[in-house]
Amino acid sequence: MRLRIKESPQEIERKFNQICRDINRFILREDSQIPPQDLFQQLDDEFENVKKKYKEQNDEVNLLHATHNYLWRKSFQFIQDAPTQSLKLIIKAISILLKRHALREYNNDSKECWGHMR
Amino acid sequence: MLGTYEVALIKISEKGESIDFNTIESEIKEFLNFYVSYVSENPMSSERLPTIINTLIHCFVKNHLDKKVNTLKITYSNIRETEALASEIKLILDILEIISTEKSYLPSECYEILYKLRKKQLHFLVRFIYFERVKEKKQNAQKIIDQITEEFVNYSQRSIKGAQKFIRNLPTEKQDEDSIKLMITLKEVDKLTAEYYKEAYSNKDILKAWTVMDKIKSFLVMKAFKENVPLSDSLLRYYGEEWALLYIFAKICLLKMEVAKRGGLLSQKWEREVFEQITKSLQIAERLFKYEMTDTKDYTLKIMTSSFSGNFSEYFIYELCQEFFECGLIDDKTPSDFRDLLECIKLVSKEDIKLNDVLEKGKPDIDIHIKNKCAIFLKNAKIESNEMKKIWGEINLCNKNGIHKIFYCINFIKNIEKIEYVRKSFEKIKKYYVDLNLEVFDIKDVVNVLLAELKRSGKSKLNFSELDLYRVLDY
Repeated sequence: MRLRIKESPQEIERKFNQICRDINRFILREDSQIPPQDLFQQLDDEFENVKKKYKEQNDEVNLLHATHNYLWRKSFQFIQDAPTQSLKLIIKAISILLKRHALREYNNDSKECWGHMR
Repeated sequence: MLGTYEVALIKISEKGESIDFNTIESEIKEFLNFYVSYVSENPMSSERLPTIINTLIHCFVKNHLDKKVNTLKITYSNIRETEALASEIKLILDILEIISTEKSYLPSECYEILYKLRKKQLHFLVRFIYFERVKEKKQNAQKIIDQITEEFVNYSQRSIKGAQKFIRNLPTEKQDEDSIKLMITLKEVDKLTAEYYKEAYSNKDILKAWTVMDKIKSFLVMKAFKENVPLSDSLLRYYGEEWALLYIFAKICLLKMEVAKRGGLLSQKWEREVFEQITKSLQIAERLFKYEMTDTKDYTLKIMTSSFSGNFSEYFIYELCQEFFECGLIDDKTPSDFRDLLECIKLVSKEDIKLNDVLEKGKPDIDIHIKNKCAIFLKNAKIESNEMKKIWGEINLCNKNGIHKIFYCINFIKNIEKIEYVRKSFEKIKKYYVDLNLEVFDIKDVVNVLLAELKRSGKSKLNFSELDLYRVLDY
């Protein structure tokens, strides 16, 4: 029988975080750009994988953390043409961030909490 | 360096006007409620979160709540429902209390929106009471007015306090910007207006309300004329008209009281009946107004010619000048704006101060001529275009006779909606007569300064109220 080793959050989110960083690069340019649609498609797909894995592991804390990062990036997809939808996602993202903080306290303003946003 | 959060918030704020807040209002309310309960249980010392919440709230307040209050139509059936809107703003104020907002304008903005909401409700209720016939409904509406006006005064005070805090945190050069001056002036006006509404519609002390209205008019004159604050014509007109309505209403009420009192003393039955009829007619006239008079105190009506106030005003200022010549002081406490004028009065011989001095036959006289020093012209009436022509003539006359220092004292209270016209006209005159030293004052300020300076020099105090004096002088 093969021994199944539990994946760490870093491993689970590796690809997801890379996509997040790619999205950030567009947003943080001096002339801040909306990232291309295919990047958001990749973000959707990869988030589904992350979500599935955390659900399997019953890891609510990391699921909330990843969901926040997902919704936050996702808000940029609509910021130009559907700002209402975008704002709705931002509000949802902050609510989830607060729920995550309530479960296990973030080290305030540390990379753990805000690092992914930069 | 900006993070993605900041970029998103900047972009969202830029798009604020195209956000349909109605479709996400429930989510926002839910989030705000969640945030309040969350923060009380989970202290989070992050500096970024309050900034983010502050920006989001600002976007919501500016693009949704403010507009919602501005477009709100209040009816008798929805008057209580509008409380939901007030609660929403109060919830935001609770959040702003939690997140430190010392440097933010938001708390002041929220109190101003609450003030506007209460003002709309008040205007509706005053209209409602005016037209409604059912006594019980009227009484209910009055109860709401009493409650609203209390809050109203409180909101206006908090709105200005918040704005003052915000201004104190601005760089000094920003504090003097026109937009900041206008903002704080309008909030001051709101504060005085709240005080006025409370007296007029809740306490129903019309004479006190009228005194507050006097204060508002003087304040507007000071801001518009002296400090060049760009107040709108409609705002100035509103207060000018409200003052006139109160003035006429108070006169009708006082006349009614006097007719009733004198009628009761008449010996002939038919005369008493006529007076009773007059009293009833005046009572009907009184009801045409939106105000009520509950106390007339010791006010009385007097009959005088329409020119009396102007002539008496000239004579009174002339006498004050003479007094100032006798005992006035010129020192470092002399008010700087009036130093020139006071020095002219002080540094001549008493005989050189002339009232209504005629220089050329058939030409306008100089109201107060201080020979070899200056000319003082007093304008106590409304300034129409004819009066402006006369002013050009007076200045031309002074110029011809070598009088290079001219002071104009204008009754701005009577010309409140013409301040801009007066200012522009005098700018034109100054450009034309570049060698003349021309200064314009509010006539009330001149009397006020002369009285204060005489008091400073040891003259005994007036044994009547200054307010009564200004009423006789028609200021």
